[in-house]
Amino acid sequence: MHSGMDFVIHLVARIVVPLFFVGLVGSAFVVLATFIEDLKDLLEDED
Amino acid sequence: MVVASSVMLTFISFWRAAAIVLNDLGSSAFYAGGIAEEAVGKSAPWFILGVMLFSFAVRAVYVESCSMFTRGGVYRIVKEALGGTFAKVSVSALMFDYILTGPISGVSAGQYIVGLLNELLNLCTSHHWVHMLATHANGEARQLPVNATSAFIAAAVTIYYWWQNTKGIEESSDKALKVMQITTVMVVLLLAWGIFSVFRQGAHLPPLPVPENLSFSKEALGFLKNTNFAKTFGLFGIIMAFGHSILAMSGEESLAQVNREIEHPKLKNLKRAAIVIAIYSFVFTGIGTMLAVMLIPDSVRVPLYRDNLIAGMAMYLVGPLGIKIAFRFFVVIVGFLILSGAINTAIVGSTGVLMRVAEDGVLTDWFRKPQRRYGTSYRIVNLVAGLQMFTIIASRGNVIMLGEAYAFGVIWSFTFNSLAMLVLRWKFHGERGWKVPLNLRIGKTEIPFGLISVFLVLLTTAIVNLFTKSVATVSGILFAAAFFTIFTFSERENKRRHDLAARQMKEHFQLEHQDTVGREALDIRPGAVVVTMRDFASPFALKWALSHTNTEDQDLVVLAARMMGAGGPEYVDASEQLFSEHEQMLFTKAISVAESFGKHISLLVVPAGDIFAALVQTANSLDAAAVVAGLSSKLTAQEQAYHVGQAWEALPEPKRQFTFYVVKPDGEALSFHIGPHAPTLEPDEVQLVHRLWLNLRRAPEMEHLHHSDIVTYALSKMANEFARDKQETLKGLRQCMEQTHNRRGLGRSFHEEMDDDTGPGYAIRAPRSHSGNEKAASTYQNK
Repeated sequence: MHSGMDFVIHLVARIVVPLFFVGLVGSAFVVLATFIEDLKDLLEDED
Repeated sequence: MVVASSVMLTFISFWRAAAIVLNDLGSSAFYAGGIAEEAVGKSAPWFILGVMLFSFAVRAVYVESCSMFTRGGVYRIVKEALGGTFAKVSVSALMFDYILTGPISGVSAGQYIVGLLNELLNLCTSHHWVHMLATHANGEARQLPVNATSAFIAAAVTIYYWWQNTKGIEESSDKALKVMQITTVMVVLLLAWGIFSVFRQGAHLPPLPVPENLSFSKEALGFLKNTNFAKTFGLFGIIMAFGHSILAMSGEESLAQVNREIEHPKLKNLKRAAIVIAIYSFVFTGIGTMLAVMLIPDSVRVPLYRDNLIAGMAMYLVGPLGIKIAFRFFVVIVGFLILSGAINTAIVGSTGVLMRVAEDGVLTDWFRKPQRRYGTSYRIVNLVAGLQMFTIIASRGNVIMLGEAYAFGVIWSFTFNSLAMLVLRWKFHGERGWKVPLNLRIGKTEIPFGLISVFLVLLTTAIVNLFTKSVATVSGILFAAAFFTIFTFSERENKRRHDLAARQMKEHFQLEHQDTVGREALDIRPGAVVVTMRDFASPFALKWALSHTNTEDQDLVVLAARMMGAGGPEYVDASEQLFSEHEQMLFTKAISVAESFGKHISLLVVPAGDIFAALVQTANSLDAAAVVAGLSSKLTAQEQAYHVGQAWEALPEPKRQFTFYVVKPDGEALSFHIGPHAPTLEPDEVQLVHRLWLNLRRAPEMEHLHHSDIVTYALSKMANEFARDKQETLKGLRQCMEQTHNRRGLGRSFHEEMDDDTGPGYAIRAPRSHSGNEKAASTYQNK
């Protein structure tokens, strides 16, 4: 039973690890871009 | 014809919106660090920090969803993108998140209180203070059972908020703002003092978040604990640790819930609120946890302060013990305020989501039936509070167990939301105010790299959590499956009933949806009478209004308000909502009463965050001369009138004055003039003016004197006297008031008692049409 779980988790790990880190890099760009844009909005004078 | 409109809402600034969301999101700072460290070891603060940074990206997804739909919450978005079944699954996960927010917050508040009390008992024992009370016979300090007492406190607070919600809480962003102001004082003190202490006494950063520094607890391995894989996690361990820290960003959904109420310019203010929330939670939860782990020694941090990490940090700041204990008191008070507030937010939020689902026909109207006395959706409140109480008892006050399960709802509701947003990039062709950045256009196709990235992180984390968070997986799947089953069967039953109701509706009413409410939509003349109706069993206000209104001269509109409080039901286009069984019964009764009087009425249903604001806005939009309401079960007539007056003052110009009538169940009515109006003069005051006029008129040069000239002269004299000698005027006025009140009796100066036979007075009369071509067409169709 444990070997079955081992097989499944090895398979899952092979798929999710690269996807997670690729996603993390992309998300870092999103964070950076939106942070700058929104901070400008926040500090801008009231309309 | 029934007109359903969507505009009667009050709006708040982005600061207030941010405060409402932070009451939920910010509360996780009190427990997320301890839970994460228990699971992954001393590197946990890096992962909490990482999760808080990632929450900036999740926030961007919510902002995009809110820019497409005023209520960009999970249910709305997933239904739009993936259909009803996925929407029900995602809302089940969200409900799991909400149901657990209450118990985890309540138990955590309890842990902070019990932690402080036990520390004080230890202190008393060591100093031989109140020896009998604080110390056992064997010389050891008495200690309260931590988990059991925490569970008791959580249960007590949950029962308190259950009752408050059953009665109907007046939702106020003021309270949220005040809680966040006091929390901010604590955060600033905590961080400034913490950073000072780090430099003063020297402290090391936690070990870096690399695989070799991770040490997972047995529980944190979940289904993997007996596998060979558990020995060599490698980078997979990073995802596991990230997954164990994800609960730190629970509460983002509240942003979508509060978006509907954000004032103009909505998108800009939404983005401002979102960035304030993200920065605040990054600083409080992220940096706060980091400092706590740096300052509290390893030997006591997990065993003693795991469940009250910030209180522990207060004890290890530099400074005298007395001041540190005083600060810990402050931390516990703030913690109790924000955490117990989160219990309420969880009840209000989950009730709101269920109401929204019910409005969409997924839950039967049985759930929406208003409480007889208070008019609240008490059955949904009972269900939510009951599930929270069950969770508190089942967990027996164990925060770690609750935290384990909590992450399931958080991660899966985010994952469904981002997947749905991804699908909508291709499927949705309507207006989109803003997009998550990193969109690469190749030919005609736009590839949303940013959105895909966020979705990938959420999906992979959710999948890994399925393996490593066994408690969450089992309890989450069971809970979500139970809710999904309830939703599915309920929807089927509702559809059957709805088909029947739709046929009945077709026979009786025509429902027309309007974005704005106006006289044209209802086909009524200026100067109408608006009557509110809540309880179909006692339509005394409508009966009173019908008996005092000639509908040939003046139109009568029956108004039903659909209550949608802060964090309340998500709003979608009125056209997508079912005309509820309750509203049908309400209007059926209204028409039957109107028919018994042989008079015409118009029917209107509006959503309302604040009933008084909705009432006043509707009256103003319809150019109404009078508003009639039944006496509230909670407020006096004067209090009702005061709230209506306040709402009227908040209305932007142009606004019309009207008379507000409060009708008691026995048919007696009180009237109040809303807006600036001529004071109600007593006969002896009119006599006085008249006597003066008669005397003054005798002088030959007073040939053209009017009564109004006397009032103007007297007022000018008083204004001059007030400018010259304020105290003297006040003194004189006080004496005058005393005499008047003795003469009149309480309250008679600002309202007039209505006698049923005398009619409602001048204000309810409609202005005569200048064209003389008055319409007499029926404003509802009752086939």
